[in-house]
Amino acid sequence: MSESQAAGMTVTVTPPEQRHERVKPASQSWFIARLNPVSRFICPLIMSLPLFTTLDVVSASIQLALSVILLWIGGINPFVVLRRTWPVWIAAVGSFVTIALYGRTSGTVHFAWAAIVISDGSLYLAVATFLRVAAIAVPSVIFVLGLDPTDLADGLVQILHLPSRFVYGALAGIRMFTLLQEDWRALGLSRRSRGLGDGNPIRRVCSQAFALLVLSIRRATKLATAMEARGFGASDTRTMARVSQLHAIDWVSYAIALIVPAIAVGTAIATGYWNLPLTSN
Amino acid sequence: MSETIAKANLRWRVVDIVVASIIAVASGVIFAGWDLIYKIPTTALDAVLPGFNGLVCAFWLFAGPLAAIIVRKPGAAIYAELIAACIEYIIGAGGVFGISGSIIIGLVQGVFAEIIFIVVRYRVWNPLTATLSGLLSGFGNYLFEFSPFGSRVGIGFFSTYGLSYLVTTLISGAVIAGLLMWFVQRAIAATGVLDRFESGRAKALV
Amino acid sequence: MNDSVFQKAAPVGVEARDWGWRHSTRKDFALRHVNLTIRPGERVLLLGASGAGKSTFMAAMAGVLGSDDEGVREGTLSVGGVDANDARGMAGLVLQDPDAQIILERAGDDVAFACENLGVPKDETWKRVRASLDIVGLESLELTHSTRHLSGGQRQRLALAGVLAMRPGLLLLDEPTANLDPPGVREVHDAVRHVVESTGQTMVVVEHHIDVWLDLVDRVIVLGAAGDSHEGGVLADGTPDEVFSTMGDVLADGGSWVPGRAIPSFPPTDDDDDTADTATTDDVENERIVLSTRDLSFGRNGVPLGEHVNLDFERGRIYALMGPNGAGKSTLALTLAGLLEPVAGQVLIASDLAPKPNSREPFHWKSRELLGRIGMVFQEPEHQFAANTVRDEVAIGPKSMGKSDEAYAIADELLERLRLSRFAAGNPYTLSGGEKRRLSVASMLAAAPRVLVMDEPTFGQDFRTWSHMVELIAGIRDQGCTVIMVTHDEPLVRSLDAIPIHFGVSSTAANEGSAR
Ligand SMILES: Nc1ncnc2c1ncn2[C@@H]1O[C@H](COP(=O)(O)OP(=O)(O)OP(=O)(O)O)[C@@H](O)[C@H]1O
Ligand SMILES: Nc1ncnc2c1ncn2[C@@H]1O[C@H](COP(=O)(O)OP(=O)(O)OP(=O)(O)O)[C@@H](O)[C@H]1O
Ligand SMILES: [Mg+2]
Ligand SMILES: [Mg+2]
Repeated sequence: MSESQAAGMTVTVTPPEQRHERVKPASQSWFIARLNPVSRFICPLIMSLPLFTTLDVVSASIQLALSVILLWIGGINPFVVLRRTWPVWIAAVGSFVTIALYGRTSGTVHFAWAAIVISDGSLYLAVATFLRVAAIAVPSVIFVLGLDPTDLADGLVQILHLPSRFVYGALAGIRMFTLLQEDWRALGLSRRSRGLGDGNPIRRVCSQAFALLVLSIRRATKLATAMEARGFGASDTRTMARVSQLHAIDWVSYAIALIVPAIAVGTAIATGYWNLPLTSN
Repeated sequence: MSETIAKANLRWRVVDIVVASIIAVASGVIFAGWDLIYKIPTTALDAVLPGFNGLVCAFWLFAGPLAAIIVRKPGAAIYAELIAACIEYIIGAGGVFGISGSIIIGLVQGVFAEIIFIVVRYRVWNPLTATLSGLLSGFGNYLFEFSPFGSRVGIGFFSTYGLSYLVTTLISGAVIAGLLMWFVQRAIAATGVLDRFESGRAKALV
Repeated sequence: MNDSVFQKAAPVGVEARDWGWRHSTRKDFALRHVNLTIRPGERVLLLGASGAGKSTFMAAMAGVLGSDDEGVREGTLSVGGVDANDARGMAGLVLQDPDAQIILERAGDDVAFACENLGVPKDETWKRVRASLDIVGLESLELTHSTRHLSGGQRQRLALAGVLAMRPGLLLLDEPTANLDPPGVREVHDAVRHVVESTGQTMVVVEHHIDVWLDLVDRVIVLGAAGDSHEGGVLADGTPDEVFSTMGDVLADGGSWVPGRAIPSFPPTDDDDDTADTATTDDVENERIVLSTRDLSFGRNGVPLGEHVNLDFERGRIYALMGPNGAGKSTLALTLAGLLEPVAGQVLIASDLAPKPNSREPFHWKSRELLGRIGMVFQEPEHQFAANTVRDEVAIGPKSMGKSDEAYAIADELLERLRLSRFAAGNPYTLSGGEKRRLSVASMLAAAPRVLVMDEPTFGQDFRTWSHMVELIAGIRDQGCTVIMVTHDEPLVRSLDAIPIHFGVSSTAANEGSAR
């Protein structure tokens, strides 16, 4: 549409108001979305702690099953959970292999070569480890998906009373992560235009990564100045423009986070599977 | 290269906090990326050389020593390693290990990386302290991994695998998370971005 | 609580006695022997050559220059009667770099940040946030809007709003309109005017293009660069009329823009001003056309910003891409430079410039092939720095083109011409805003490309460095190089007699609801 004219030329672009961004939901689960961000950290933590007292198949599988069911009730169906947690399963399989090969030997030995001894005992421990890794990590991943760092920072300061200088300093750093992606792209372009873009790709990526680190430290020092210029760190009486509180639903979530491992570990004790991991040495 | 500072200013400035944070964020991104890909090669490695996958664990250890030798404040290693672990955890895929395997282990690694600097009272910053910091961080990593909290609890601290893992972790921590970070710090300082830090100023004036 | 203290925003004064500062990595003082008194309520325009230390002085007044281990301090500087370092919060500073000032993810939170730091109660904070956003012309921005993809102009305004919400007794603005489009400049100006007139705050503003602020200031202070012939300090101080009438020549020599002074003109020498050059647009093989776009759609991440763009760029001419902030000028510039992939259509270069006869699309070239053919000066100079010293930075281009012997000769000459020789061994990152810009231009000129694309080449320049820059650009044009600049700088366009290419917003798209 743009013809060159005697007076100059024009380029027509879409108006900026029409360029929209999609808003991401806080969580796919209606339940998790209503929790205080701090609870989204505390819940998986409470849930995981009792599991560390044992390494057995029963507690881990019950916990995993209960978590998946509860997440389903919370609005995320198991297939979505599975899809969202794929790296967990890779890690769990890896742990399975390692423990199967090197775990404590007991019972029938199926295979032995150098340090590798696959026995009934090591296979049992491997299955238990596999389940435990998944039982701990799956709820963690789902709880934290879509978490907003700003809200988390507010919660850390107002609910856990962590020092605000550090929390907001870290928050500012975290926000810069979004800039890092843009910076990485821009650095790539500028290096290309300066003739530094050819050659060994590994060396190029390393040198560009170093450039990104340098640039981000540079940004961080400037950002620190900008924060100080707005009075950050000047006085100890900082107020909070956003309120972060625990509501009834948070307490419900803590109760669930206590009940689930209680059932899981309780069943293991009742069925005799519970064992202190280090005592069987 | 050795720098011994008579009197260190130990109060955290805003710029210390923000720069330590950004180092942690960048590291956390690397941790998370590493989480996604490491398991396949290391599982393969495990099958051939027991415990040798300790060699790669420095990729989760370097944030603490690096931040410590750049900002040189008490607690910098703990802070950076912890924040890096939180980032690893938050950006999604990092939850691979759950809250314990990402965050609690980060705290442990950070605390161990910090020890050496406490011992020298934040006055000695040289390749040796950096290396020791990485080494100790590796030791913390070993303790955690084979404790009831870790995923290798089914193996045992003193098994062949455990001891071999210990040795490789220490080497990897010392060389990659320690000594290498010292050189990274020198290289960063040479670009001039650390001019607000003591660590970036041992140069001729322009 | 202490809220009432901040609410009143009592204007505060500044007093500098023989004040000086040397950055810890420099052997020269950035500023020295500064003696001045700014009374509460005064509105001051702070002038000085690029690198004279204006930003340093602003940072000092805001109390953010750092402690004594980050530099050497001389004399005293007090704000509102107390040492500037202890007065943090009394002064609100808008920094030179709009990119570095966004602190939080949501616009509302970002503006509220300062209030929180100063202990303003919650309700009062949100009142101030809304009010400040209204004043700076961001009333349509939702408080939850992400700060990530704001355009340069919006960012600048957001930073201003954040500082206004502090209700500081001393408002410090460091080049607040650099990089803004002309309507944006007026809006920021009006916003500041509204604020200072209704609150009576003391204001200090740094700006090279002084016309914008002349109606608002009642005093002009000129800082001299230490390290030149003199020892720095205050060169001139008085009402605008006094300063410009009595000291005009001195100021111009010192590098300031003085209102009403003639701007040098470098029209094309081979003046064949045939306005009928439109006749040949379609013929790419035309001798004179070096770069052209064919039905080009450009944009980011596959989303077109502009479509069906057909432009031809001729040898030895200068083009100026002009238009509002966020229109997509930088995006088009990057596309023309072969760095961004066209969303659709093509960018074609003349066949005699192509590295291989059948490879006329720069995006598909190797990085080495771009060098010497198409150069790009990025909007953000820091994205471009790849070496540890200023001299090496300029030498990179010639070196990778295989001219290693001459590389440093070329570099030294360019540094001399752009007044950067003093920093040859310094780190690019430690330069002042204007110096960084000149360095990024110099490093691209060193590779002597046939087509040079420059994004805002003259921002942050004083009159003298601006003139040098214009002369350099005219020089490469006269050697047959084609220059495509993105700019808001009208005098630059006039002085080079550049051919303007205006970005207009399409009206037809406005009634399509498909965007959501
Ligand atoms: N962090 C730093 N380290 C070392 N030198 C610096 C640093 N920042 C600025 N300088 C130097 O101090 C001098 C004054 O810089 P300053 O940024 O105050 O200049 P300015 O007057 O604002 O210039 P401009 O108009 O180009 O922005 C310059 O010579 C610059 O190179
Ligand atoms: N890296 C990026 N990724 C995605 N979108 C971007 C990116 N950079 C800019 N944009 C968006 O693209 C549009 C055009 O941006 P561009 O930088 O080209 O504008 P501009 O005309 O150069 O503005 P200014 O005068 O403020 O520099 C804007 O809406 C902006 O938000
Ligand atoms: Mg400046
Ligand atoms: Mg632009």
